[in-house]
Amino acid sequence: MRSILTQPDPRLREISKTVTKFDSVLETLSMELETLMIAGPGGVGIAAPQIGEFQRVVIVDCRRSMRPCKNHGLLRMVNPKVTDESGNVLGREGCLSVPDWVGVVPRAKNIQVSYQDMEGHSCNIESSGFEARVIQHEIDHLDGVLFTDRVVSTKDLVRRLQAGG
Amino acid sequence: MSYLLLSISGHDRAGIVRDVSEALLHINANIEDSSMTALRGRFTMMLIVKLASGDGLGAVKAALAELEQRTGLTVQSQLISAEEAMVVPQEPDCVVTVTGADKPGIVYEVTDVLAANGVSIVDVSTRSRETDDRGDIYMMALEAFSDAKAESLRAPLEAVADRLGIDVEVHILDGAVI
Repeated sequence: MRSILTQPDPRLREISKTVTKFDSVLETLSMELETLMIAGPGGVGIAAPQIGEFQRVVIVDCRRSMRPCKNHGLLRMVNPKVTDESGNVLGREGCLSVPDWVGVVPRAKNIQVSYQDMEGHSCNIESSGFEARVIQHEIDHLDGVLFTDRVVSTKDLVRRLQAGG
Repeated sequence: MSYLLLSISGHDRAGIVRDVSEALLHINANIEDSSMTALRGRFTMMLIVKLASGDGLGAVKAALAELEQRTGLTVQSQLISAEEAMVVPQEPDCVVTVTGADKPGIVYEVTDVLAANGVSIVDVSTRSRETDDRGDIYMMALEAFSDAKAESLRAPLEAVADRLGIDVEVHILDGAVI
């Protein structure tokens, strides 16, 4: 079993490649990711690059959230992409790859996501709230972005109020 | 081990943080935590520093007096307990944002609601800005630890917002490791 890469490992900044082969290797990767996600404290999502596998695969399961929330159960998303978004909400995020660190991150409240399932079939879902936040956080990993890049301070928030006003 | 809280400020210019940290380095004081920001034309610093063991407080005071004299900064210091210096503040579980026409009392009215509900503020930033059409607009963002009581702030904060003619929003931060 591989372990989860943690900051400041430069591999967390790599951009993952589009998956083209839907085979048993992908199935094994997905199972390995699920196992590691469940092993982590409060893990509700994981992305393949977090274990050094630079493929566009993320696993999300918000049934594991400490606070109950609306969710789609276990999502195994290949080549996921946010196709539409609306609203803006603040939430607190942490990350298995950035231990001992949490921060306030603004995210879209509602998103439409297109992705492929493990067999390569196209899927579309609408997600909102906490699950939408998790999906956006995991897709960020595929692009080498960590939540710490998006953390806002009260100063940033005031600047946003100013921009909005 | 001794910990010192330093409150330092001066007319803003390039080099203030350098000057202060240089003086601290000379007495082997380690900066444990800090908040440093420009408030209008004045640069302000609050720091908790850990003093090198063995150094008498006299030497530290002398170094700070020298810093004050040399740079024109205002330097105040007080000893704080190790217990206080070690505390990690609660992670905020809610953010309150406020915008509206500037008038005295906004900060008081909003924080009075928080205090009455036992909600502890972790961090606040404020700013006011002149607008062409609406006069001075005041903005405040406030991170607080409510121990999951943030929902109960909504009604009383709405009442404050109505009374003062301002916008107040409560954002509840649901946290989980992702």
